[in-house]
Amino acid sequence: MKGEALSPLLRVRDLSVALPQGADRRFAVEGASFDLAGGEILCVVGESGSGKSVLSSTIMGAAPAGLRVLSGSILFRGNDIVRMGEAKLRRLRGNQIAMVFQEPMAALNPAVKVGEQIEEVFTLHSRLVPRERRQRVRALLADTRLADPDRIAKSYPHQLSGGQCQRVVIAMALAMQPALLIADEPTSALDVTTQAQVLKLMRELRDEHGHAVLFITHDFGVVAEVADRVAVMQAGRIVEIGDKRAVLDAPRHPYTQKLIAAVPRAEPRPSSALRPDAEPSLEIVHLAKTYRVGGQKVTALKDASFALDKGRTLGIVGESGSGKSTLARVAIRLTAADRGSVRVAAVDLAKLGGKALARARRKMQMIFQDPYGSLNPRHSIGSILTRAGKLGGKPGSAARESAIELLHLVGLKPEAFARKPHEFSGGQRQRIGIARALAMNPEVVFADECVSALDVSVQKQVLRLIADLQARLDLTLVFITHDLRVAAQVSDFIAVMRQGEIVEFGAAEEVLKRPHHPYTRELIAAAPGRDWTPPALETLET
Amino acid sequence: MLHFIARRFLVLLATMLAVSFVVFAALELNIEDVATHVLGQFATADQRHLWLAENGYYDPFLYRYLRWLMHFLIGDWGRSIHFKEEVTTLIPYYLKNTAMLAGISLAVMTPLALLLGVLAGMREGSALDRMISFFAIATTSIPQFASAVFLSGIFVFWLHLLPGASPMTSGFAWRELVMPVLVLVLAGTGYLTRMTRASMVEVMSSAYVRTARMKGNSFARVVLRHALRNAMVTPVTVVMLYIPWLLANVVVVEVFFAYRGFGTLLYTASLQHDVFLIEGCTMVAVVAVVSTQLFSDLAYVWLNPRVTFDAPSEKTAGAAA
Repeated sequence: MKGEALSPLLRVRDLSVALPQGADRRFAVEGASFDLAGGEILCVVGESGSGKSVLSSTIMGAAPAGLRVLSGSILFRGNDIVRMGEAKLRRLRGNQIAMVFQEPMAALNPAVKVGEQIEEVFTLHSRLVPRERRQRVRALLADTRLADPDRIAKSYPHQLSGGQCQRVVIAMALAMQPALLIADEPTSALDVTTQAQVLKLMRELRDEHGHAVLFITHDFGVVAEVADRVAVMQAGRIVEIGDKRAVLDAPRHPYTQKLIAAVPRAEPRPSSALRPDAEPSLEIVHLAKTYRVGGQKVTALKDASFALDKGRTLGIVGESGSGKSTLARVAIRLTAADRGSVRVAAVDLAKLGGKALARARRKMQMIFQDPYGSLNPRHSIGSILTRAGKLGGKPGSAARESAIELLHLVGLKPEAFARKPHEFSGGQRQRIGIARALAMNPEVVFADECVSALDVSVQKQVLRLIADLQARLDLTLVFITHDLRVAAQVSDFIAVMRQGEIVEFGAAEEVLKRPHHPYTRELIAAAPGRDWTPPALETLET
Repeated sequence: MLHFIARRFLVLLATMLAVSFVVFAALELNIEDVATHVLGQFATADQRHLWLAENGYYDPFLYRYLRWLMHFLIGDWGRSIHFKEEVTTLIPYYLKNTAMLAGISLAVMTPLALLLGVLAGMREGSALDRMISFFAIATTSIPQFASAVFLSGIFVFWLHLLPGASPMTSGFAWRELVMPVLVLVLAGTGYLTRMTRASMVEVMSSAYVRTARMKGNSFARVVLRHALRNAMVTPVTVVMLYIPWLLANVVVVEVFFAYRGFGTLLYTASLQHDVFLIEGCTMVAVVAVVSTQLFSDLAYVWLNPRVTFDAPSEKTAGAAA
């Protein structure tokens, strides 16, 4: 076994995976070559559609249906996975190569207790008797720092939190002490504090067991946090690979440079001078909302109050379930509040009803998270915008004209007018969503996670567009996000929410640099890659 | 759990009460009609008047309804005009025959459809999938009166394998049951197969099936251990809804094959304007429909650990503003 000592654990050479005919490019992965040594964490980073997930599943010997390996080899301990039979692959999977997935909750069988799901790995790959298997399951759960492993083992996935589920999936992956762990966006679906814990866990487990990790991610913060080496993928090719420091701090390939330049800085933007004459555009006073789920009361929003001057941006940050979306929904009265009032341009919405309410409500518009679901697929962009304009009170012809103007304003060509939503990319659709919100001529715009579904380079463009429009139209903006970096970039003020409560409110710089509330500190500490400041790069504009 | 069943039971009672009122109103609101149906077309106006007065039909409607309901509850369902027998002795006999026909059909149909659905759904787009899907759609599309004629043509008149009618006049005969069961199975299997297939396809493309594969499970083990139970949730719920479906669809089959079942009874009662028999049959049908709904809900909860009995997690974000 001399060769094994010399060759690395995983050696991918000139790997090409063909896409089915009619796809927008010929290869999902094209000419990929890299090595991965034992104990090393290699981050594969790229935007959606870059082929990083196809790469990872091909290494598991399970290229997605319709795709086939055209050429190249994947040598794992000297054996070529590309040419391996199904039976041999099965002995490898879950045993020597294991995988951790993006959606931890969905990755577990909803009808089987999680302990049994972990136990299955031993049933498949070992000769342990049931009692030994259960002991090992318990030890594994304890290993992934889960409190009360016995209870967890007896739980169904839906009884656990996302973070707990991901620990279970990691425990399952590490059951047989695999030499290679493939993690496909393992923390993207988790909250930032949970993400920090899971990332820490993955590093610690690597240190303990010495397995190699192939870590797929789109987030440079995460890369900075966990990687030893980094591979950057663009349209199926690995365009740059190297040491973490080298790639993150001195990227050579223009695409890497562009990506890194698009990563929002954690620096808060300098707050512009306050205008003493400014009137509050949006006032929220003692707003509260309680949902009744089953027999239980869930406080979604607890006594939220703030005022926001015209032309300013408030960033609302918090984790899932913190009530930030409820705040927006209640504020625009998509959902009725239990208590409290909302004043827009000094008009109290709670006192209005019927037509007056409908009119006043148009003063508040929303940009949604999902640019796919929030546009009616049957209507052309032109009719969507014109209708919005008419609802905003313009007569037909003026609404049409302003629709064309809006397209120009959000950087779309006039041809877009006659097209349907499905003909546009995610970023373009988000621009359309923005145009629609603006068509009503609003006073306040709520943006609910409106860039979280977008790739970083697109995200940067959309953020810039929003800032630009805000300055031009003197819009008041409430920007809801889970991403502190994004919040830092866009906000004048930041409100930190937790369990339905605004725990901290202040100027962005104050909150981010001198946080008072312990939870704010915890959030800031949990942001991945906060020790890394993206280098100032001179890049070609996109 | 008990709370859940109790609540559903109350819903069941309320539904029956509502239906009973509608049925009573539809059939007995117009008392002249009742008298005509009971006494026949050739009775004179005086005779009708006499009969109506004797039987308390000149009492207020609501009072009549309540009296009828009371009688209904103590088991006095009236006498069939056509059969000249108590409704309560007629219905059990016919219902038993239909229960046998429907039960056997269901017993054949369910495993067949589940098996076909799973086979089709486990590899979406495979040749097997397309074959099964074609069969499923084709059979569902054929109305029962057509398939009854068609199948009779083959098995009765051409091959002489089976009898063409199933009146069971000389006692129970297995051979007479084959044709009606065949027609019902052919009509019902397709839909359930499609349901099972859709459910299976969804499960097979889920993340946890992928996880199971990546653990090193074989395809067969993935299907049996991970996919099957999750894929069964929807079809099993649907199977329960087949009981009311069968109750409605046996009418065609039973009449065609002269099978003496609930369908034939209801059919005859309707043709003969047999008021009291229609009332009885309708109420029995309602019980069947509502109670299978209850069983269907119970099965759903049993198969799906994410649903519990007590907390109906209604996340109704009040759309009202």
